[in-house]
Amino acid sequence: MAISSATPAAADRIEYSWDECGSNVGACLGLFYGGKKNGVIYSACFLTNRSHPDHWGRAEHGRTTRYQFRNQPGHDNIRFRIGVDIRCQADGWGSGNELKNAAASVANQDWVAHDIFFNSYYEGFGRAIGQDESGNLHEILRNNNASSRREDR
Amino acid sequence: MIRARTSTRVLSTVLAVGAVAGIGWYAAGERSDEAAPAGVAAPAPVKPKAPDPTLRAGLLKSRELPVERYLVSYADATAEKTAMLTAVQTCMARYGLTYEPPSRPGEYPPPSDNSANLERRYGLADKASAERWGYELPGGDRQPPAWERTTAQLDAYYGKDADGKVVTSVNGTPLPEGGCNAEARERVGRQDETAVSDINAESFQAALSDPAVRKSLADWSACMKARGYDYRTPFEITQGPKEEGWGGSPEAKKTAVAEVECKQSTGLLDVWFTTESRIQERRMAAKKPELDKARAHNQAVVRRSLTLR
Repeated sequence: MAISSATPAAADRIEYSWDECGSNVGACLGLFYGGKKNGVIYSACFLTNRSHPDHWGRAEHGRTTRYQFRNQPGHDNIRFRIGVDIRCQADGWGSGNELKNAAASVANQDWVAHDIFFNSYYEGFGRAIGQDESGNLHEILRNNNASSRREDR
Repeated sequence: MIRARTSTRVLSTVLAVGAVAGIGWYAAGERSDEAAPAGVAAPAPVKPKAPDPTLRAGLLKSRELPVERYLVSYADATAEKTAMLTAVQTCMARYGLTYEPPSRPGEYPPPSDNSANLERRYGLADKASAERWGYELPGGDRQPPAWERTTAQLDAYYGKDADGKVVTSVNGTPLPEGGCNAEARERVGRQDETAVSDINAESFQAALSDPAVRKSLADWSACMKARGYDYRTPFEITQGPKEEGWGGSPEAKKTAVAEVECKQSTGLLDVWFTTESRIQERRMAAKKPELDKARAHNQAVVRRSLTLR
């Protein structure tokens, strides 16, 4: 089935984003490339405080934005206040990898929940990550994070 | 087995009636257009409907997966969140701090009553919704506003500063370990759906590889092929790069309607739902004591929450 009219054009300008949150105090959901071990998460991450129907990224008006784990060199690490020790590392493990279907753990310092889904457009199995929760994604969602919805749950 | 959804498992609904003033919002679900008299505080402007525990339309109308008997409902989650907020505010006040989020728990209800996500668990299931919204969320994606808490609020809330150092006091007053968040959690407790959520996940994966479901998916795929679409499963439709707003485009709506019509003509959702229900019942029977214990714990948390809010 052709869906070319809805597919971003090949000539689109491509940008990369790891921060869809813009919070000064880290009031964000962090999706991490690496897993949590002994309460500790150290790796590159993707930050957000909004819903994403597709973790691939988004395309609009000739501009394509791909979501990645943090890959900006020279920036400070971002330390979460929740959990034992959770750090989003600028050049950490997984830096530069695409977000979709590649997250292993999660930490939610947003003040509301984020539901992580197996498929795009919030389809299939989903698990709500409540405020201040952190940990490894369920086996089914690990490397299978396709979309996420921010919600008051 | 087809099981009708009921609302009786929503403990907070039952307990709230006639017991605690002002918490029947999820039953009322209407916006008040009446202006408040001068000098009288205006009522909360919006009382949106909470997600209906029962699916009211579509191919899965009135059905309930077995795990839903144990998953935490939105009303019960909201009861806990409201009690947590009150307890945090009480703690914060000791340090001369306010803690007022931009919306109250329950003001931005999600599309699903619980995390079974039956509305989209097998892709779309409601033709009328598919015609109107395509793959977008019915009514649009209403999210709570962002909230930037102050550094002082965060220090007191978490008992930890931005560098991860433990904060032991605020404005000279000792802070409990873990901050106001830990103190509030100690008072309220936390509903636990770990065991049932694991079954919810495992059954989803097991059903996908069940021979009966795979056969029915092949039938659905053939139906879609006859309409000019090449998908092995409904989950493939939304894959791949899409333009912003694709979900509500005429093209997406047409695909969405085809997806649901083929599900109806092939009986895919009957097979999928029945197969997964059977898987869940089997796994739940093996874990019944654990599930019942968690539910009793959750009911206690909700009861306590309703007295604390």
